[in-house]
Amino acid sequence: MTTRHTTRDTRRAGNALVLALLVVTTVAALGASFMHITSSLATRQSVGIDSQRAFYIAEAGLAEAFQAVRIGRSGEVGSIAAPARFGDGLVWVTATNTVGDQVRLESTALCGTGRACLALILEPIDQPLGFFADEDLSITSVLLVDGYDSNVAPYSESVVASGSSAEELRVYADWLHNEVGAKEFARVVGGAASGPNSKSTKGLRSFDQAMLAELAEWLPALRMGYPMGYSQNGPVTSNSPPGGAANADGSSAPSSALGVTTGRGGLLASNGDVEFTLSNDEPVEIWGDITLGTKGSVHGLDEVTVSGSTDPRTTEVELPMVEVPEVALAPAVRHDGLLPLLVPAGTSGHLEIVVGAGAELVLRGPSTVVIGDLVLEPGAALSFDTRAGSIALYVLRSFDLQPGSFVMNSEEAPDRTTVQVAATYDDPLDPAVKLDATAQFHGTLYAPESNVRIGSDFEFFGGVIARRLEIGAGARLHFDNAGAAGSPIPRILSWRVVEIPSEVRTVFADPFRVLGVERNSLRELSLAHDLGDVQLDVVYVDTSGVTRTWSGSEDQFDWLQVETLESAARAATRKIEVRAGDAIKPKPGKTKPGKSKPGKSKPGKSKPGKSKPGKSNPGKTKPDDDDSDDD
Amino acid sequence: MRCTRQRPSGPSSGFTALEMSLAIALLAIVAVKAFGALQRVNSATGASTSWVVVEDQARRVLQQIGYAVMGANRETLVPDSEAPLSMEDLTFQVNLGIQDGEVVWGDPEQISLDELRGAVFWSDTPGAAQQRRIVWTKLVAPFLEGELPNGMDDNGNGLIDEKGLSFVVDRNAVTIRLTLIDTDKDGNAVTQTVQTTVTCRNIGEPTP
Repeated sequence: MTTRHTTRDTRRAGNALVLALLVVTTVAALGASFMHITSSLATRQSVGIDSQRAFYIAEAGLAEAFQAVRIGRSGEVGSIAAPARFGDGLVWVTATNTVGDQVRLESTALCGTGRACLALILEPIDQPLGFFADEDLSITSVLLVDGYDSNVAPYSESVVASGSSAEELRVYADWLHNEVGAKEFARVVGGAASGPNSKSTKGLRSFDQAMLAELAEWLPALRMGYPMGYSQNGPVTSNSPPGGAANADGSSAPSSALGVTTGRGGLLASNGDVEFTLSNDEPVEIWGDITLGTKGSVHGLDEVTVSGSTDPRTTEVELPMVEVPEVALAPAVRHDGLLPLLVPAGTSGHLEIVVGAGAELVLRGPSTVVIGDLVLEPGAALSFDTRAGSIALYVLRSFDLQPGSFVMNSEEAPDRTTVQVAATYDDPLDPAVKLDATAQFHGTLYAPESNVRIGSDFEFFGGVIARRLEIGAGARLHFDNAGAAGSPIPRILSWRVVEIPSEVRTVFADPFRVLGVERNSLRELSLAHDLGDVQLDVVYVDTSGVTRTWSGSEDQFDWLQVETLESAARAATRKIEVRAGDAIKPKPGKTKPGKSKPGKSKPGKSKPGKSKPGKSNPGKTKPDDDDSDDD
Repeated sequence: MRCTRQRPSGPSSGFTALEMSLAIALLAIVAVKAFGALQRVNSATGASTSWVVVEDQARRVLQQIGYAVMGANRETLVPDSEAPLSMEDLTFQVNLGIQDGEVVWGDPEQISLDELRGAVFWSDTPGAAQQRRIVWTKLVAPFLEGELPNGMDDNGNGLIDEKGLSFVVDRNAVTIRLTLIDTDKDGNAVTQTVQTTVTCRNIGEPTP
């Protein structure tokens, strides 16, 4: 009995268990399937988010490298072995130099399961050099340096434009109301047949338009340094024009003791130091910047007016030799005739040309002229006729424009006349290039291995690059900064999404695990620049108390041995290579979208979209840069 | 004999009709409730899945278009319309890299909307006989979410009668708007609208 009852109870309990198991299994299966669905949806979303984050980290890497290139460094940031940490991801940037001084940056970023690789090709644009000496530059007497932008207006128009400022005219008109001013004006323009002087200046009591227009004609003369002794605020001791000049942009230019100036844009530069050694309160005005060598310094600034900065460059400037075209040289010529000696357009060469007093040499563009020695004796003249094209003049040994000779340009565009001097050795006391003529020369001079003397009557519009610069008393150097305004920012030639490196392309695990790196051991992006491209000069006291100096690549320096740091200077090791004309403006851009006709992309290269743009992203499918061309 | 007498009279030999009725009724109620709950969960999950799938597709397509525009040259974008005008097709040239120091540009490419099929296509050499087209999505709505074809800006985004895919160019930036629409298994419409603004990274001189 007892046994039967037990058997029946057990059978009933088993039924409940089966039912319960069935229900639990069903619920568990449903729960698992929901979890799976939810998890896969979350994964799907996170993959997209990781991909976006990786993309923006790669962009951050490119931006960091871009700034590095801008200041003259290589652009390398981190490496695949030691990437930089940024947010929750990793990034490294490789930099390679390509043809035409271009730099190719490739930034690879990993974040979660996201991967991105972007490529940027840059053309570094170096700061213009202005009036540049490879050696230390010494200024010993009166000097005016300013600048202008010939893309906007030639120098003369910049100044005249400022003269037509209504406000300035009113100041001058106000000056004329004063008897002292009227007498001074009469003295300035005395003898002229027309102009305000022809009237009784005492009668100029109203600012009528006709009077202002007439006055505007005389303004350039008034502003050319004549003593006026008057300003809107009363008598002044300066010989500057009242109120100073106004720039073409409407801003007011400061008064200059050296006469008319744009009051801006000048550039005096050296690969070394710049020193001012002045006596007798001689005015030196630098309306712009003085740029020093990477380790350079400036001395004697107390007596000098500098409106801009006096910072050293971040990169050293390297001056390549002049490449003289191969031209057969005609025999030496001495020209004393009344008719000008014409060197026609085209390519020509002369062993020597000496131009005597009263004679004239005319170089007509477009031409390439090679001359062994070019000498202008007192009273001789040299004309650059660039109306039909540019002139490239190569001087092999000496370029001697003697005092009393004259140099003229047919146009005011400095980039139309280029003089390159190939002399590689000359006596500092007897420079290969002597610009002692009376001139308003518009052009550029490139003499990387020569000494250049700029005389006091040789007014230079453009730029000079020389080994050594000797600047005469009263020289006026006007730098044409056409296209070089602002800081030199590299030009972006190409931005592309490129193929992700094979090492990380197919592994979608945690990036730190994929690369086998510890998160905390990695440097931040901004600190992960390659130190191999930084020249470090350091003076320090080491751990044993000895003062030491060290100079070299920063990645070679062991900072652990430094107890006390006395001084440290860093400079980028990338060198700037310049050519004639670089003083004027940076290299022209080479990007021509639309230039490549359909099919211009090389046969054999995959065409755009050929490799399934619908798959990952369009950029990834494009052919990579031709490495053979890049490197 | 003994056995036959004991079976019907045993108190635990089986369920009574009442017990069975109650058990079945309770089970039925629980089953109905559970089925209803399951259906609701299933429906919610389905809707959520559809929503996520459409959103995911919308974001992917937007990302693809964005990358294409980023790599394009600003000067090659055609047409070049600013708000309140918009366009549903965009032709551009992308950068292929550098060759001999010169930037090489690819043949024109086009991202376009096929309104009849509600599809976004990428195609190369638009207009050419051997033009290749790749579908990026087939879920594009006829008009952007909230917009009606009435000559007015219904959704307040500054655009008039913009299509399900629209491009607006403002200097170097291109704003891309996309609305995808799909139906879940219950026949309910699932709509997703995404938008981004990207900047053309390649800025060059105009096509001569």
